[in-house]
Amino acid sequence: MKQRVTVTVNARVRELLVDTRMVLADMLREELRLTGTHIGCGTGSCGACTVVLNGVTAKSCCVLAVDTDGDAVETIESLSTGPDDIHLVQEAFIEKHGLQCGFCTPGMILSARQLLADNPDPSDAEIRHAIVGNLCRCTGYVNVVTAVRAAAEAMSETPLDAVG
Amino acid sequence: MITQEIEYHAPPSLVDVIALLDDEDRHVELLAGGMSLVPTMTLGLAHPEVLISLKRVPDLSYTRLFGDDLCIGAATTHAEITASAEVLDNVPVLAECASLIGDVQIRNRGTLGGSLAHADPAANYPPLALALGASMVIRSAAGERVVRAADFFEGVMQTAVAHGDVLTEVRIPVPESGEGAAYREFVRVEGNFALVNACAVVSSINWAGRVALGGIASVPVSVGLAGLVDAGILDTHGLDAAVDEMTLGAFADINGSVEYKRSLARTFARRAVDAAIGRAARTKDEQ
Repeated sequence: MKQRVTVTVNARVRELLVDTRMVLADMLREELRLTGTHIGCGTGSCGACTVVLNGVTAKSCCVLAVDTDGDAVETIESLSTGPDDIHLVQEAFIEKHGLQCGFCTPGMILSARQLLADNPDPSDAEIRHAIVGNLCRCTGYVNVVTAVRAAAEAMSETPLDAVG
Repeated sequence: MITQEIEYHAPPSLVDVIALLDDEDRHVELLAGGMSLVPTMTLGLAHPEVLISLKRVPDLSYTRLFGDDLCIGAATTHAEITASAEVLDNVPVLAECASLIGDVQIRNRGTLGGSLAHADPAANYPPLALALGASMVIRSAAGERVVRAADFFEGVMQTAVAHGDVLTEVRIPVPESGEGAAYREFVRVEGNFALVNACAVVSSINWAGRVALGGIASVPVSVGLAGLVDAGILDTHGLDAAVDEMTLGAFADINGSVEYKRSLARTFARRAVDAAIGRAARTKDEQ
């Protein structure tokens, strides 16, 4: 069964006809070709599918596409327009080797960004607590935490209006 | 992926939701945050044919004081509860409990009402609801009724919320002065469901109280602390005996043997009661 949804994705209003069984993660990837959002477990544990939904992070594999009518979604793609314009959180992850295979990384970065928006000077414990919902099989989280700390430092040195 | 064909509705009011529910003979589920329901459907463990989303229903998400109770809308998210000034000022143990559910993303979407109606036996809220004497407000075509926590949980994932019902509000009596409460849980990995969890409330006026346990039976269980706390000192052997009595029905599963779970129950009941005593004593000191 298909139903119309009108949803703002990365600041663009999109009108889509979606199968009522489709989850938001699949809608983003298949219907909008925004493949930065990854599907790991598909059941709400790993966080690879993390997006920002109505201003807060959410696991898009646990949200029905049809249930996002009138909502606003931001994906990892909204953080940069290309290699010459990357977000300071992305920069920190690159510099501090906070990723290896990169599969968890979009979700990890969006969670890190939400943390820093709420808490600009987090302790390591607070960083670890903030990424409980983002599983990583490669890094052992050590460089993820280092990257988030570096992003926090970079953010404190950057004028507020320059940080997205 | 979800295989069952779904008819989806997002009615604009509670009256419309109830009318739809009432009119429906097929398997219908209410959708709030979806953090339990959607994965359950993806895993093929539930196959509702009709989904009624509560997203457009107004005034289901709030925290407010009314009379002696803290009233919380059923669609209030765990994140909102954790950050709410009304919760932190009046029933801080609720924020403590909610803050340990899942992770940031899950707390951003998951709701108090959704979690209670889902009634996973290892969920965080049920022992708190029991220990604090919460009441659940349920609306249906027949009107509104209030169900106390002691009568709300009926079995594994079974509650007093029946077909045609909508859980709309949870009411928690604001603690008396001199009361302290605490929530403690055993998890192997932060954010996972607890193996055993406990919520205790103790009064520093008469040293009476209650401790409730989750994860140990199909529904949360509780016992009064009468006689177990003497002038702020806990009779640990007495508490162990009371907990053992409560956990006679514990069952073994992949998480552990009966002996292991009952041992966890003793430990975490004790931790919750100790913490509650400490908080009660501090409120006494502050008076």
